[in-house]
Amino acid sequence: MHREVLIVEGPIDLEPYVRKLTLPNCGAVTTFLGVVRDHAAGKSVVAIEYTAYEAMARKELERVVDRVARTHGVEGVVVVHRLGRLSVGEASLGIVTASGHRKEALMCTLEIIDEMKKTVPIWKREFGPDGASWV
Amino acid sequence: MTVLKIKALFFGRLSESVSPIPVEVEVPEGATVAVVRRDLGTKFPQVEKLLLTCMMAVNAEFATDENRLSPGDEVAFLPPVSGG
Repeated sequence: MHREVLIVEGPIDLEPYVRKLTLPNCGAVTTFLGVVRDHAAGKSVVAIEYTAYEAMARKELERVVDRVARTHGVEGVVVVHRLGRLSVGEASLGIVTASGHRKEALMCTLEIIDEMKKTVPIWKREFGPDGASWV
Repeated sequence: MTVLKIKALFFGRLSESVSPIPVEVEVPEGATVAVVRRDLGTKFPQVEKLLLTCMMAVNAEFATDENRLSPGDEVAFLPPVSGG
């Protein structure tokens, strides 16, 4: 199984990973982008800042990906998380999955997101017109 | 009583309430993660509840309150995460 986990500072580009995971035995290659939205919990958002315990974040994200990918039997997963201050419309998270059939690839993406939100040491701080608040 | 020095790291909202940079802390030899939590909770009462309940890591691995500490250990306080 091909697995890559990257923690980056710049814009996320999934195209190279889509090309990499378009494998002959895969009928499904999916992409997901988690993007900064202009509202959260009824409040206006102009930017989100992501910070991490970097020494641990990549390791824990790799563990999550390996566990979930094994569960769904996918052929390949690439997860990219961006840190720093992001404006509305910018992507904080990118996921590419590849499997023989679509169900495994799509379910793998969903579960990676659900699981990473429990344990991966990354935090976000939302900035709005009235100031900043930790999520 | 012999003491040992560890480095405490604070993340998420704790980086703002306590310290954005690592803080050197002295604890008794043989102290566990629970002891560091309690000591820092007393020192920073405004965030005591969070310091006592958040996830913990020692040297970048998840740890429990029973984890015994060694000199130079990096002890991280990890509030509820919000990545993704």
